[in-house]
Amino acid sequence: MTRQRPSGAPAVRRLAAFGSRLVYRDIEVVERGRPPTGPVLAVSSHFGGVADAMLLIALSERFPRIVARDLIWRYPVAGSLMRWIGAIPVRRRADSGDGTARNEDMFAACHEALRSGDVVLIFPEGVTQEDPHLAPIRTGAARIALGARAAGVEGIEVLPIGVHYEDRAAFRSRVLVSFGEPIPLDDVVAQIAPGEDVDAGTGTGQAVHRLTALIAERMGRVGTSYRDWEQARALQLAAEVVLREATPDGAADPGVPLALTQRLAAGLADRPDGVRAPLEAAATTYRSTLQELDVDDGAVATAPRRAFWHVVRDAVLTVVLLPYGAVGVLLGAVPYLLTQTTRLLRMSPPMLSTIMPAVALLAFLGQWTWLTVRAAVETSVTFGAVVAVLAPLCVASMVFVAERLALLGRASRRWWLGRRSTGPVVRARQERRAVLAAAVEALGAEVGR
Amino acid sequence: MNEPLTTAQAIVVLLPVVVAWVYTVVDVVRRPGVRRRGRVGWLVAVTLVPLAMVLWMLARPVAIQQRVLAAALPADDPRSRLVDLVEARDRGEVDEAAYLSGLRTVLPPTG
Repeated sequence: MTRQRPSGAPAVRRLAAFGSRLVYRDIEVVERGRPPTGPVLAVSSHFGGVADAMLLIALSERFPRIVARDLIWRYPVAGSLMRWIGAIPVRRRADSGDGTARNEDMFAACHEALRSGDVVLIFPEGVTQEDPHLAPIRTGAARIALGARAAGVEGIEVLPIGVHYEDRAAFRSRVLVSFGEPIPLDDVVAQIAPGEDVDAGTGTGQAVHRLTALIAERMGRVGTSYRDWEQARALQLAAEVVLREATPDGAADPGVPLALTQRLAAGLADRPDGVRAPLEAAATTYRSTLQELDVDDGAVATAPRRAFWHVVRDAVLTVVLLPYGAVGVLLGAVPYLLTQTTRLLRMSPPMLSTIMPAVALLAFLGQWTWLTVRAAVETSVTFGAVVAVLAPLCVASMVFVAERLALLGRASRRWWLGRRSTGPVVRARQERRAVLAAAVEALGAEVGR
Repeated sequence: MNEPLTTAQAIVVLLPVVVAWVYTVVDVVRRPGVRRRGRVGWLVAVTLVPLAMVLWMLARPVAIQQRVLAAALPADDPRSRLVDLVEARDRGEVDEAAYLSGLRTVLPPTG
């Protein structure tokens, strides 16, 4: 078994890691099982377009062979990039025009990659999803896995992955990547009854449908499942309120991890309508008031939970880095504004989640390259190297200072709100208590009566 | 650019370069996936030529996953306990009394 990395793998992996760090403020990773070491068919949810692929390339232990729509190969730069990273084109019936999709080459390439012990990454929902729940899983993933097994590849594991975005079209937001428990394909094959139809070629076999159902079930465990975005936002806010109440006083980080918010919100989404509907209504009302006040839940939570010394440390670091941050503003203003203008484009959120990281990468890397080359040409190579080191440091300082100033701003706002005893602030506190009570009710218990 | 830098200007420029050099040296020493001989070579290079710091940043092995996983919550964090408890109850792994008792330990009274 010889693993052959695509020629572009190291460079693209580095670029993906840089892009992920640049675009997202926080990347949380959850692993529910041991990382597989043999051939892997990774099956991921698909809410973020190219951002999903960028994150999974950056986070995967091994460079994945991505199965993607063959349409991408028709574009000059994108097509070259796909060939460079060893991606595998798949033809969809909807794209073919004649309603057929002949994918023998795709299956053969996937089987060969799995035989070599590689990771094959596929998005079994087919296309990027608009709604916050998994679309029906197509049979392609199961057919690839069972076909490779029938071709003699042993030890394949199917790895379910869920990618959740706090706001998929926002620059410097948070993202959660959940790696689920791998499904050993050999165990699935061992359960196939004698005489059962295992035809992986046509996708009509019983084993294909059983494995597809198993993949859907496991992806559901690591994925989100909300009725619509309104429900998702309401239940995530309710989960955040509950978790903030459970945050230990003086915790180093007063933020609520996205992983916990998603897990608790998923639990709340499964509650019966009788308790979930009042919770959604209370959280939606509270969210409107937060928007009216232009604050987040942390600012309304009554007890100041952020440790004093962390505020002092942030303030000192902010002052020290302020001069470099100021230079960073000059250097990073154009790429930042270019990235932010993508929000003004009239596109769907999935398309924006593809365009925004691409613009951020090109703009920041382009600016850095231009500055470095110009400094090297106009003065000396050594000065070019110093600029190459200092420019990203200054931009990083700008980001650090901006985000710490935002934190300090929220802390001062919380202090100010804590002293208000009239108006929307009082209403917000009452609504927050109502959300907490409804959430506890929904969780199945009234605590401390 | 041909005028000599004042002391203050030199400090403002050199300080972040020194910080970057210290960061790079620590990174070269600690980053997984680099052979011993390679580490020594990089250490010599980044010390003698500033440009090598840029090359190191571009060429170093990617270790994003280790960093984000290292920031995971401790197991005894009450927020983790709360979510674990709710999920365990949904799977039928804890009885109602233990569930209510567990909730009381992590959530303040709502009444």
